[in-house]
Amino acid sequence: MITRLLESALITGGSRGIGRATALALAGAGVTRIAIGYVENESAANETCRALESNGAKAMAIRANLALPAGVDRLFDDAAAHLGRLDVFVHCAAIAAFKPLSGTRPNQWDLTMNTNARSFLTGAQRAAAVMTDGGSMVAVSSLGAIRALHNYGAMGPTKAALESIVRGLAVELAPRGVRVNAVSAGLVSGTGVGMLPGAEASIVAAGAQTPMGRVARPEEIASVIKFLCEPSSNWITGQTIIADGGWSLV
Amino acid sequence: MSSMTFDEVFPNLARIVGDALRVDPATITPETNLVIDLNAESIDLVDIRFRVEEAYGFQIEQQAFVAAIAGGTAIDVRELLTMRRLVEFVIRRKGGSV
Repeated sequence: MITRLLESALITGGSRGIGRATALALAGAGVTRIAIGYVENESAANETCRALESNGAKAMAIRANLALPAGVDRLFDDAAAHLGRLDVFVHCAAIAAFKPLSGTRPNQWDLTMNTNARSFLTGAQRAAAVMTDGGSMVAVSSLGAIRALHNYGAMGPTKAALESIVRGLAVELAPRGVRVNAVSAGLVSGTGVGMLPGAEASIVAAGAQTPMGRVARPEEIASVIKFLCEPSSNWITGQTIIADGGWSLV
Repeated sequence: MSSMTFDEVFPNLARIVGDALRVDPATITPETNLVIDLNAESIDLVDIRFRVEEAYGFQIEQQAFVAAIAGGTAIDVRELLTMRRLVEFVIRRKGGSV
């Protein structure tokens, strides 16, 4: 595998939480062109772009609804001129209905699965087409992929699909020097789950159940993602790295 | 100025909402409440918004979408989320008057 500097990155769900932290981590590592996708909060996306610019990167925010294939296409089409070649694709975007899986409705399943999992597949297909000189893709998963979490709804199945997509693409794209991995986190403060009403109690409870004694900060997940993007991890592909402060061990 | 009328928009939105929530559009009236009558949950309102955005070619954030339909400052906006208000929101959004 050719070792070279990373220059460009496209990050879905990049306006807030883990996506924002990842964008900033990559900018700090010298990535000079970064595009972030968002769907819900334009002011947060613009603020993240300003933070990236102040870290020396040229940043672009693109509003795209990843529940639709056309939204994924819009994201990549709009980012193409800004990014030039693509070195890194990170998929953080997710939507969830926190309720029992047994009560999940078909439209809720479709929206969750399409946003969380299908968009990674279609995005990775677009990314692979322009990663002509190798590259790295990372998807943000969760422990709900392998464990039954209370009121996690369709989120767990979407993350299981995501991890399966990671393994399949890793094998298919390895001959081209494109690595595909996932990072699985426990509860992370400042993310979608952490911002729900009543999340404070959940964060305290999850922290108490975590050997490290607290939940993760977005930056702690971003640093793992950054590692998986860098040439120093070039022998890792198709893996889901668990970064949960030991929560899944007890 | 949009030429869209209530009678044109309502059947289309009834179909969109019916498709999302698996409800027969024929049972949906202008006074049907999305939350109280059709049991729409938060994620369903996101789904409906995405479908409305796609159908009518505009973009709006979820909080603004719900607030625009409700059109008021009620503490509990659920009572205000009727099909009539959704139709009127779309007409206004497309430049029409209601």
